[in-house]
Amino acid sequence: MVESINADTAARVRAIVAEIATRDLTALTADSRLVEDLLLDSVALIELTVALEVEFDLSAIDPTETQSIKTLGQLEGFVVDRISGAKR
Amino acid sequence: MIDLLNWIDRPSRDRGLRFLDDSSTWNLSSFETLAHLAIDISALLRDADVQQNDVVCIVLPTGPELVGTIFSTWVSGGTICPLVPPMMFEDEAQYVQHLARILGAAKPRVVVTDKTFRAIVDSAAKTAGLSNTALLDVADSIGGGVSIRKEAGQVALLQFTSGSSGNPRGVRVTFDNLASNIGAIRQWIRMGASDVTATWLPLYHDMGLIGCLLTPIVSGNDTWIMRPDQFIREPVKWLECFGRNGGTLTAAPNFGYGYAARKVKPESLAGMDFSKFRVAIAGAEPVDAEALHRFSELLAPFGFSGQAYLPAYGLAEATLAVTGRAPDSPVARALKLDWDSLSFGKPVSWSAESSLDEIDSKASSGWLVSSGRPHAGMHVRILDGSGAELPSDTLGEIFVSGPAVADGYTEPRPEAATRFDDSGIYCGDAGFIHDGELFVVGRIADSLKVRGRTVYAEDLEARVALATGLHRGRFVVVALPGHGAGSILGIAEAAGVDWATQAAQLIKGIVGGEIQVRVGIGPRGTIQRTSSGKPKRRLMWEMNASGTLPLDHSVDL
Repeated sequence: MVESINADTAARVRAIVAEIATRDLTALTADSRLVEDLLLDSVALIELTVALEVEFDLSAIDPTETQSIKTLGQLEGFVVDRISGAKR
Repeated sequence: MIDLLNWIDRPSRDRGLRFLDDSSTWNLSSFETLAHLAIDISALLRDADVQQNDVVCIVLPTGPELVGTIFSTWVSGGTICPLVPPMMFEDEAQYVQHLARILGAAKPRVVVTDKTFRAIVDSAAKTAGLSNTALLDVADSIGGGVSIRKEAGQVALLQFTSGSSGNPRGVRVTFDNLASNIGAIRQWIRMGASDVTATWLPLYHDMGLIGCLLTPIVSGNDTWIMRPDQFIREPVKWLECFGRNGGTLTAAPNFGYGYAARKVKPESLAGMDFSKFRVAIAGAEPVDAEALHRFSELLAPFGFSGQAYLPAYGLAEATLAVTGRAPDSPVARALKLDWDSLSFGKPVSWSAESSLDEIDSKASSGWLVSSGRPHAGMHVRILDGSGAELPSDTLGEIFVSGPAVADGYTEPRPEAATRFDDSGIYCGDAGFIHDGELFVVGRIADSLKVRGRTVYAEDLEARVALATGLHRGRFVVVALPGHGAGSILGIAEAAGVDWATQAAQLIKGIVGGEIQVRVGIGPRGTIQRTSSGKPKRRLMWEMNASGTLPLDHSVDL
């Protein structure tokens, strides 16, 4: 149950990233790096942060929380953790 | 000539800059308040012994303190060097390295920052090995400072522009450059006392700093300023500046117009009037006609006219602005180019001529929009590979001369695509002049715009070398502007076909579907280099266009 919710969260994160990066979902993998591979620039990364906050109803994401996130897989993990943390 | 500091002596109490705070409220910092702030911060700089021509690096967010620090530096005779603060998803160690490289090149006397960034700036200064640089917290300035004006130095601004990774370059912009370009911008857009600027651009780059901040300040015009992240969160606040708060002028890249059109609902514009919004500079080439159409569609029912769009061309090496469509001239014209026949030094041909508002947005692909005519005092010529001037309607390199041409780079970069000589700037951009108007085709061979972001050939080469283990000397990337999004050519010397496929796949994975990728294999000597071993990308671009590159096989993706 929890796993399927998490998988659903990850899929929604991936869809948002695909839209902002204007890439096909098929071009994305967990190892895709947000900046180097998907070419997200500073404004696109802000757009991504805001889109995640809105989509998952998260409290404001601080830059210090995201500075170690390099890949799409890490970002999905971050959102899953953020959501489960918020419910606790 | 405009004096950049005159306003400080008689600052208005009623006019000034309005900054958006974190509760989404606009707060006025009057010109009087900002002048006092500049004088107070200048006392701080004086205590740190800032002398004429000393560099003051600034790492501050958008806000009154940033403006105060800029003018305090100039009052003290120094040179400003505004730097990008850490960004979302940016690793601290990576940022420190990046900042340290710039600090090392800028050699500042002091760095002005605030408590948020102090620790990180401190470690960058240490990494850069700057022993003689003081770190100042802008909050330490004390009110009631006395105005002591030192004579201005020569260089007003050290503008660091992004280059390929690991290669920051600083452009030396003099006070005369700034005054001249600000004067030319005001004349171009017919800026008057009642004009009001609104912007969300970052203030550490030329378009935001010079176009949207310094120009209105030295002109004494009201300005509404928000941060990029505030624009992303609430794009309607930017539109409100025009529809409700009297804004008349702005500049933005394609993204800004497209994003606002995508995110803002017409309902939220109820009661707004955009009929006074008369200048919307489209400050990135190529102009994305579709994004502008969508923006017009959103705002036209509320009085906006596409007459406001002023496509423009400029670069930090020429201070900011070089050419642009004038507000009272016909709508920007567009040519449907015959991209496949585009060749350096050869006449350009097109199948149709139209204007920005008449290109069908669904079929906008293939159209190139005019960047207008040179501003007062500026000259644009098109040169061939040997530096000879080419006639109209012929493709070549854009060369810019005039009083806004900057003093050069912090360090000489003879191999760079953009380079200075005694008479002007070889811009590294390919273009042509048609009926006196400049059309910019794209960068010459060293980089390509991919979904709005610049991808450098050098960085792609490094990625391929890292992934495949192939020696970097045996592989080069040449970016080819062209039909639609353009294409990328990789050239390998005497490597296996499997390897070429791997390189092509890697590059394709980064640049994505709309960019064509070809990796060609040729014999030793195919890659053209300078005597110091730097690839001659432009020459290879020309050879490719004329079909003289000796490629035996190629992989196309």
